[in-house]
Amino acid sequence: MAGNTESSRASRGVLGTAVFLMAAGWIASGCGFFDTRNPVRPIVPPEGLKSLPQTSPQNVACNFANAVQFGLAGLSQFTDSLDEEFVMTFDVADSSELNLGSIGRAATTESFRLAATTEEDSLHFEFEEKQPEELGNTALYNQISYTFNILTRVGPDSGVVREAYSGSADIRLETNDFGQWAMISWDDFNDAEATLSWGRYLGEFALTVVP
Amino acid sequence: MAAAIATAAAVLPARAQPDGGPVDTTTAEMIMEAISPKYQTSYNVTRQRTEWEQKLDFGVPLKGWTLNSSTRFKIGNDNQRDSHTRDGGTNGTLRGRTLLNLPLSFDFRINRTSVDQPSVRTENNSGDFTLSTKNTRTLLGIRHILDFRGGLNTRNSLSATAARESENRETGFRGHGEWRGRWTPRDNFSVESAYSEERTRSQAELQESTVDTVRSEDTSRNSRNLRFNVDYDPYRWVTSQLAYVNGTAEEEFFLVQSGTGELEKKVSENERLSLNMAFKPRPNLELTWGMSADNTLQRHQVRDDRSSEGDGSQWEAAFKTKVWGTDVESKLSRQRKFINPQISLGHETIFKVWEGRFVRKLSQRLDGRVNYEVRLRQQFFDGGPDEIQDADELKTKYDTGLNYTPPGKWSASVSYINENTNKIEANGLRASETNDEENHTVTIGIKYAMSARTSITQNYAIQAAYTTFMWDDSRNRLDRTQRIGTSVSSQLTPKIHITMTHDYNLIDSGPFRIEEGGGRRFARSSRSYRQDMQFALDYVVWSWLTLIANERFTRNDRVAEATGATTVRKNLELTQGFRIQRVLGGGVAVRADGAFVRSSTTDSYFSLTSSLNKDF
Repeated sequence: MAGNTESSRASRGVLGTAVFLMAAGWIASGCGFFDTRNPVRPIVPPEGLKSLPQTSPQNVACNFANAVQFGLAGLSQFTDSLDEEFVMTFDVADSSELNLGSIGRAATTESFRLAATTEEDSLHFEFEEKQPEELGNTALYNQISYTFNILTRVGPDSGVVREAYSGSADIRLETNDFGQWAMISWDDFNDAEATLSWGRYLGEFALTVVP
Repeated sequence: MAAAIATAAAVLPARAQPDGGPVDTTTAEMIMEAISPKYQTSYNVTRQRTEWEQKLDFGVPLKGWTLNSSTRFKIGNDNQRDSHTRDGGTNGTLRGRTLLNLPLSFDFRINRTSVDQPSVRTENNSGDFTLSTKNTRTLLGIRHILDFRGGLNTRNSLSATAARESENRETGFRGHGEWRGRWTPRDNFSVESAYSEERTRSQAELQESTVDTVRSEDTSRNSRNLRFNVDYDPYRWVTSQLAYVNGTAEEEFFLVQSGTGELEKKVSENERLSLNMAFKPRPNLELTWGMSADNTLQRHQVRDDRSSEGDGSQWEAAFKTKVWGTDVESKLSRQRKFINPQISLGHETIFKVWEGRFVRKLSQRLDGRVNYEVRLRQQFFDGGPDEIQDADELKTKYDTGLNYTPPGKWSASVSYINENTNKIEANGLRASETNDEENHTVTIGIKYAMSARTSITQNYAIQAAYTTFMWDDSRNRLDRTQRIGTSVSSQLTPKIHITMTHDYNLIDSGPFRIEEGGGRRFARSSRSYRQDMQFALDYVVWSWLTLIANERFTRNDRVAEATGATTVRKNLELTQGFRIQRVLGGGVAVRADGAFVRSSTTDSYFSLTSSLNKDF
């Protein structure tokens, strides 16, 4: 009997706490817990970064390459190019040396952020001209080659290649039911050149962000 | 794989009875019965890549000892890229005998992996041979477990590029000691702790193609780990746990990468304290609460760019109950992470989440739900150029829906989802990206079972997705989508099953401008149609063999309003294949999926996935 009373009191206590928690969440949402910072005015004109609607795989690839080129200014677009389930898988040789097989969207974005922070020079990413194999809500860039260069600026619109990277990738994209495409996977491969791949470049940064 | 090994180990004692074999059993059969091997092989082909894997597990009883062994070998080839991989290894355990009343166990593990590409070659070989023993005693009411291991390690790593080559060879001895203790003075209170320490001393050599001499170094690896748990349940309906973990490791080794090698010294530390409580006074009422704090550190002498340190904390409160026939769940949490990578300035990320759901049976045939979530992610950088990455992202989502399942052939569902994402770039350089995404989605689904064998499903959806840029109206964008999906599935005969699906999407896209009254004026710049039609036929020839035929046609049309230009993309893909799944006599099971795929836009290709398992 005493046990039931105790349990009943406890139930009321816990139910009260639960109601309090919901109320706390409700109040928190209105009392600053979820407040964002104030937006600031742009200090540079919003131009240069080519941003296409993600209504085709080609547009996503184009946005991705442009985002890399703009470094930190392209970080949001870089992230938007990747699906929430995105996985980048490194070449087996790189995996063996990095001791890291693949990374998800958060680690990929964070690795790019670190790369863009570290490189003070210009970044340039370019895919070869290729049409994806499109089938329903999926598309595949099968063995698409790419080059990635870090350039030292020598003029307002010119630079010399300081570091060169190249490779190929199998890039799979998916569209949601409403026509928005995003990359779902990037299987990275070394090519026959002596240069390292984009995956290896990103993977080196990933080692500091993957626990 | 682990499951297969466990299975083999589990059946060994029962089978390892040579004396109990049938009288007419041959010697070979007796051996097979005794070691009960399991063999698995698989062969996969996808376009230009092939992969062949083999695995053999067995166990042998040897006069008081038991040997369990597992060997695997995998070969992969990518013909187009001229890339070859090998990955093999064997490991085993010999256990059974005791020395001074202590059980002895001998473990061995040998692995070899290699990658051979036109510009890169890597090889990693390793061997571990370990002798271990364990002792369990109860002293002063505390259950003690002592675990000691020691043995020989060998490592060999090779990294080669077209220009240079570097190789590391390392041999050493390892010792490991661990104590675990558990004190349970009362049924509702227990304390558990563990401490372990490991030391390795090795002789390491580095040989590089660019240097004539071989560099030798005495290297070491030391690590220690401490774990402490207190479990206390003051009442039947309350459970609590306090946990603390602390670990440190120091290693020296030759790091060989990209054809070069250097002596690396690495230090890592981690620490975590957590407290979790759960209250469950009634079966349908549950409240949980937890908090934790942690620290991590990684230091690399050579690859300093991989060094980082960080700390974090989090708390979370959640409850689950049923109020007036409604299932109610809610969770409120806050997580903070700070990381300071060597190659970048430190930054802090804060996640705050409030989410929950209400699910109620409105009548015998009608279910309703309301889900909600509020997520805030904030990123803070401490001054310097990295400050340009400061940003906030606030997401809110409300998802309401009804499911109607009357008796008979019909069922229907309707839902409305409102999702808002407010991205705020709290810095001048990226401020132009500050925007607000607002999505409204309505979906209706109907399913009709025409007969016991045939059903038809249709889904309708409309969505309006607005992206409003704070500082540049010209980038504002609206995507309006209408979608109709239809699917018919029928079991025509016991052997034939067909599925037909059709998806139709119409997407209007273009900029919009916000007018003075707050209204939005939309100007369509493009219209896209996407159609996807699929027909799939499965024909069951025999219970173990199914033939598959699949035809898929997709067409995407995009019309640019300004120029009237139309872009059309069409693809037809035909797939013919088979599916085999059969258990043969003698413990052999075969499984295979094969297909030949022809497409109007790409080269044809085969795909094959097959496996064979044999229990001897």
